[in-house]
Amino acid sequence: MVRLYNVIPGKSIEDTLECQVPVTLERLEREIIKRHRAELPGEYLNEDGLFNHRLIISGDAKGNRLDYRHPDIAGGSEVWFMVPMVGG
Amino acid sequence: MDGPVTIKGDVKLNGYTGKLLRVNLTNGKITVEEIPESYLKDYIGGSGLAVRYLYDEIPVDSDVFDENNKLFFSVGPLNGKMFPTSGRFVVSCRSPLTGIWLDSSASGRFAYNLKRAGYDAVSVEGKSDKPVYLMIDNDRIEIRDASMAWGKMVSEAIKGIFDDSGLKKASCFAIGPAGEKLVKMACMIGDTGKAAGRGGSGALMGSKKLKAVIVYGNQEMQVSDEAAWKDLIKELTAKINAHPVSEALKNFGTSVAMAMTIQSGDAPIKNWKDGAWDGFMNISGITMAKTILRKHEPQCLACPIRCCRYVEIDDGPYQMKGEGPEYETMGSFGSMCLNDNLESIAYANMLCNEYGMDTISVGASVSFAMEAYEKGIISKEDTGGVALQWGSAEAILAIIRQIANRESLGALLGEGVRTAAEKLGHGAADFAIEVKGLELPMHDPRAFFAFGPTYATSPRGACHTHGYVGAYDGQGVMPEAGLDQPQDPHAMTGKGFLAKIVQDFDSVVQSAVICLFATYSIGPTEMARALTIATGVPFNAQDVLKTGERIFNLQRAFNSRFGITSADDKLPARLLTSKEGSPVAGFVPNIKEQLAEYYDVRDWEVDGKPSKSKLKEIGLDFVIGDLYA
Repeated sequence: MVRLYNVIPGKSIEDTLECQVPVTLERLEREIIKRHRAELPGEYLNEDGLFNHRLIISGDAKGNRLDYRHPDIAGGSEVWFMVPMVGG
Repeated sequence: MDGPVTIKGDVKLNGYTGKLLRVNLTNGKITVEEIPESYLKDYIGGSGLAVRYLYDEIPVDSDVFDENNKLFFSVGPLNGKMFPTSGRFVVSCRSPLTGIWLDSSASGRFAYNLKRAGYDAVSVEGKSDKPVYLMIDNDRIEIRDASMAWGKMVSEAIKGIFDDSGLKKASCFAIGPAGEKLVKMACMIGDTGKAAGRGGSGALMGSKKLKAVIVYGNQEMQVSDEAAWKDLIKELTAKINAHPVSEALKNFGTSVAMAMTIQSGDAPIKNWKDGAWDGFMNISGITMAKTILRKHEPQCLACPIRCCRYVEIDDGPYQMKGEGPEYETMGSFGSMCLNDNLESIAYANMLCNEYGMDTISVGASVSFAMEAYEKGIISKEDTGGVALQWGSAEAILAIIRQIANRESLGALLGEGVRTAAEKLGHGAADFAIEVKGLELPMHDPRAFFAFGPTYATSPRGACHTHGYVGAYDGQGVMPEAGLDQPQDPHAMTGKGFLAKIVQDFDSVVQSAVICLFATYSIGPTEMARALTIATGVPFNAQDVLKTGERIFNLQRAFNSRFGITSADDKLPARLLTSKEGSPVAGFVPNIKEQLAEYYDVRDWEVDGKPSKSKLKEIGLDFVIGDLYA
């Protein structure tokens, strides 16, 4: 399960994706970006065509950060991508 | 309205009415006076105008409930003419809860009506000996009997006042029973659930026996360049609409951030003690949108963001309809109390709105009491038989009622957690999470380090709106102030600087007066353009920041006179330990170093006073004699 919160502005998306194994964060991001490129703000992507992690946090369902060094993230039940915002 | 104020010969200062309405409830005297030009140019309006007046007029040797404490309602040059998010007004006083500076803003239609009635500010002074309400109907001002509304919940009271006044399209803000009983976290509520929430201004209203203020105005406002004004509104509305945060707020409301806290670690859990909780998704705006949210109009006036929620619960024990809970309320009655029952939080929000109380302080007080109960410091004998177990929605609702009615444990909790902890003893102060007597809002300085110095130095105590650093820490820039790149939220340096520049800018935002959510899109440059077009006085971005610095320092000087020093600029010890189990475990702000940096960039002395040279530089020479006598 992949959850995208505010990565596409104003949208909450919960989706299941097919991805080449081992599932790395980079492969997952490329798949998400391929699907949603038209809706993603330019500043949310970096020069490598991946998510700009200065703005987008990636983590598991418990809030543990995921990064490109993880060899396989398929074991976790959920992967979150989120643009944090402070409510008021 | 007589038109713009004439200043310096033929120069016209547009964007203002130039008038202050003074209403003395002791003798019934009502006067209108001209606001000095320098006050408007140097302090803008709203919060800034309020501190310029109240610094001079509230005596230091007085009690907060003395008749010489004043309620100062004010708007700014961006109000009254459909500037985006300009439905906000500010009410200021010396806080009954903290004893120091308080300004609190609320949205709705009050600001629009007050401005169009012909006033930039209303100062309510003295005390009535019987319940009254203030009616402002353009230039018809009356202090009227409110006995039919006294003792009533907010919505019923407002209905009665509308009926009595005969005004149909007015805006009305009222206190509920909590304000009448001088509960120190009481606030005024109006325009279907909008709250000037923090610091206890509702208790001051209650002490003056002022039940409500109703205002209607229909006079045209003038700005210096009508065509440019229309173009600016169009441009900035489009810019606000295009911002990702606006879109999230529009679709899910502020409580969308509850879901995000799972990754950001922002929301507090169990009175700030724990790092992880499984309930966040159940109380997020995303869940609310799928369950109890209903479409409803109107939203705040002139607001393209439209974050307000309207909810209905048709079945079960928490049946209600009305304003939905905001993020802060989800935190205070939700994660803080380990309560993931969304409907109960909506009900708790409704109760607080009807009694007229600040959901942040009330929820924080309930979670404080739950911890005291868990530790055995209080028992059922103290709580009126309520089992104050973590997660108990019924306990939360029972304590809300107790606080509002000053009954049982609620009589103590309604004084705020600082006072409650002092009276309880047995180490309760260790988990009374407050700064300068104001309970913390629901944002963790361990998730966004810039909240550290911001909370520690905010003029009204722990506050996220006098320095909305969450809009900058990690993602925002303010190149006009030298912030060219977003800061890492956990950077060990730079947070004193960040807190300072955001506090300065937001001081102008609270004086103009617009919503902080607009600041994702409106920075000092856009603010300068808006002020210039509105008033005809040329502002640039540096003028805006300097004006904000002046306002912020005058509020600090106000507090210095009431005894605030650097010793009061601190964070609760609990927030200076690792938030284990959270995404931000191991990240702890070094508040000592942050404050050293902050004092340096502010040019404050080690005792916490603005330096003489700084005061001279920003035009506050007149306070030097008070602070350095």
